[in-house]
Amino acid sequence: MKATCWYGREDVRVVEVSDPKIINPRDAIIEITSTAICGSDLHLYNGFMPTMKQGDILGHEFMGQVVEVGSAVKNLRVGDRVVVPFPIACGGCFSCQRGLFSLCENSNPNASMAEKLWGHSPAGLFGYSHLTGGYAGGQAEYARVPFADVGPFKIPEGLPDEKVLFLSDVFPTGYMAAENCSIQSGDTVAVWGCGPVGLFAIKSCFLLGAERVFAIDRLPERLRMAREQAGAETVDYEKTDAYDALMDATGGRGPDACIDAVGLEAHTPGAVGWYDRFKQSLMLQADRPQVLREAIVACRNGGTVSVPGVYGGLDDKLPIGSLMNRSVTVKTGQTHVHRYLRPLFERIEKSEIDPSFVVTHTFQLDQAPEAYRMFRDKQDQCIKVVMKP
Amino acid sequence: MAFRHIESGNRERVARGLGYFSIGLGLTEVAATDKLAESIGIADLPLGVMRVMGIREIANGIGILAAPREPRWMWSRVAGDAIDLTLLLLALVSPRTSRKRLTGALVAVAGVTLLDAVCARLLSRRPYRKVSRKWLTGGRGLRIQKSISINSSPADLYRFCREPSNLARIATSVQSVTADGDRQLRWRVRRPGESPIEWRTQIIDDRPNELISSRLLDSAPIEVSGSIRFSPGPDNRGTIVRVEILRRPLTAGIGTSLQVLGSRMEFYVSEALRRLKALMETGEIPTTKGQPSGRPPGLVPVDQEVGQPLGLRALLAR
Repeated sequence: MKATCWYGREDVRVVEVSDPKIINPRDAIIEITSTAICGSDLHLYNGFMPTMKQGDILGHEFMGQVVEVGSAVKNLRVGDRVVVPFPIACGGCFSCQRGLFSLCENSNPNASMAEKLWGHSPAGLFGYSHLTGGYAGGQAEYARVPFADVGPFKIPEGLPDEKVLFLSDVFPTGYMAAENCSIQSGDTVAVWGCGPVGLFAIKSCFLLGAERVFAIDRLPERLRMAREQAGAETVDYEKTDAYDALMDATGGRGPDACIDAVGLEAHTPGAVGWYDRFKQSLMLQADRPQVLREAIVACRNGGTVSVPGVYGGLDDKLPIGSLMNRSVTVKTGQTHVHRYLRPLFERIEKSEIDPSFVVTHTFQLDQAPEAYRMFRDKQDQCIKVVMKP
Repeated sequence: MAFRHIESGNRERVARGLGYFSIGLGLTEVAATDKLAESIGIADLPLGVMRVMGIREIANGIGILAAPREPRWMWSRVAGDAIDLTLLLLALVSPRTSRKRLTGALVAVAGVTLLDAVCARLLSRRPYRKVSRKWLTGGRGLRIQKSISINSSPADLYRFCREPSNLARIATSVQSVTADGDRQLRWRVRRPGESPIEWRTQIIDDRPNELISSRLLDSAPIEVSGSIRFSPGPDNRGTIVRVEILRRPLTAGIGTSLQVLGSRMEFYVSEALRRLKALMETGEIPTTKGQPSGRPPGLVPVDQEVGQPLGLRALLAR
């Protein structure tokens, strides 16, 4: 089968590999009909995540049809149409039983490595470096899905792929980010980053009762989508200082919650940017956490900072003093996708939201290298890329 | 020693002073290499060597300032001084050296060496001694202790672990375990690059649903014993499984088959516990062995499974 594989920094190729097969009784094989590139895939593309190996198959947002099931999978049949969540969860451990599916205690074969870096290991993920288990991803024609009796979510016929594909990652990610803000009716929320996760976060904030949502970015097409599709008030941070704009809008108090939907590759202008890049180049700092700094400082006293943006390592100059002295709550994590699949699907069915609005480009799987480049460089007003194998 | 009366506060001050001295000297060696060489009287010493010494000095100084009570940084200075003295003595041989200046430098360095050694001695006298968790306080052995929390009852876990064939399923370096009578087990253990080794163990304490304790037979003068304990978790949430392995004495057994019972053992035990947890909670061992990959042939394979994570070779591979 064809698969998109990583071979180095900015070196992604579609190559012919063997078809996946059932390895464990709880596996299933999915024939993929649609797959997407995630903003976090760009961290792999740009060489920021360690433990990537040549030949690793990328992709963690995918859906398709079941073509084979292992002997212990009773809930799925060949022919079922499913969306697959990006974390791999066993359903039987302490974390899974508490709905913390991205923290499954069993699914990461490299748990000892992650423990050394982070103290404990999160779940295994599809296509996201060997630190999270080295599982082959879904930017391919087929994928092997472990614990298929826990993850894959059945979708009825009649809905186009683009409407439900994002249940695999970005829609629940934006939703969980908004949910983590503990939004009370009438709240003001500020969202940094108007990529797909930010856009879904904005929409979810309104669904959860926020009155005003501010969207901070610098790309006109993303600001426009945030305004027109998601209903946010936009702040172009290259023209206006974000902190000033937020203080002005909230009478100096600051937003009730701040969402960092940007993560480790934040575009950081000015002297701070030079500092972060310098430390990154010396491997003294893994990330560029500028958005996190801004989100903490802008947040009102007693408010919440919600962080769906991906970070990897030990970062510098974070305003912990601002957090502590002002009773700010931080809520974060890789999305526990499994617990949002049903409620968010129901919202889609009831037409409360149509997630396909974020799609700007559709490619054939063969075109993955150009797709990655276009998505990374934000050419042609690219916001979300879907690929068809 | 006459310096016994110097309080620890002053010792720290001396140490800090030497730390700053190190940094200062190091910076001079790096930044003003020519001038320094000239003033010492060295004509032939390659300047690169002096710069490397300078970097070492700076690093040592940083170490001292970061932990002024730690004797190891001071002993490191002494070692560095010894290298410096040697290099200076070697320089004496060269005809172009200025004898007078170099002798002066030698005396100075010898004096600093003495000061460093005294300071290191004083810092080494502390009321406590750092004890590595791996060492028993008496009897000098190796103790490994690992625990894991598993969502099963102590009874189920005891039953599973009491069955010899299951032990081979969870310990990947064990080829097979067979019962030899009711309380004896025969183990075949894999060794990379060699034929498997056979051990025999005897269960010395068997408390159903609580504890299985064994010792290795025919291993004298080395004693090896191990136990696995099952305790209900807090609020009856699952079970905490604890494995302890004791081996006495540490130094014997090198070169024999028992060498494998060293610090790597801790890793094997924790990975075996992970496999036990995965089997009990999910019914299978999560793995990526056999999955598709675009890996170019000839490169080290990078698949893994619970209990066999990426090894160092695979981790360092491209």
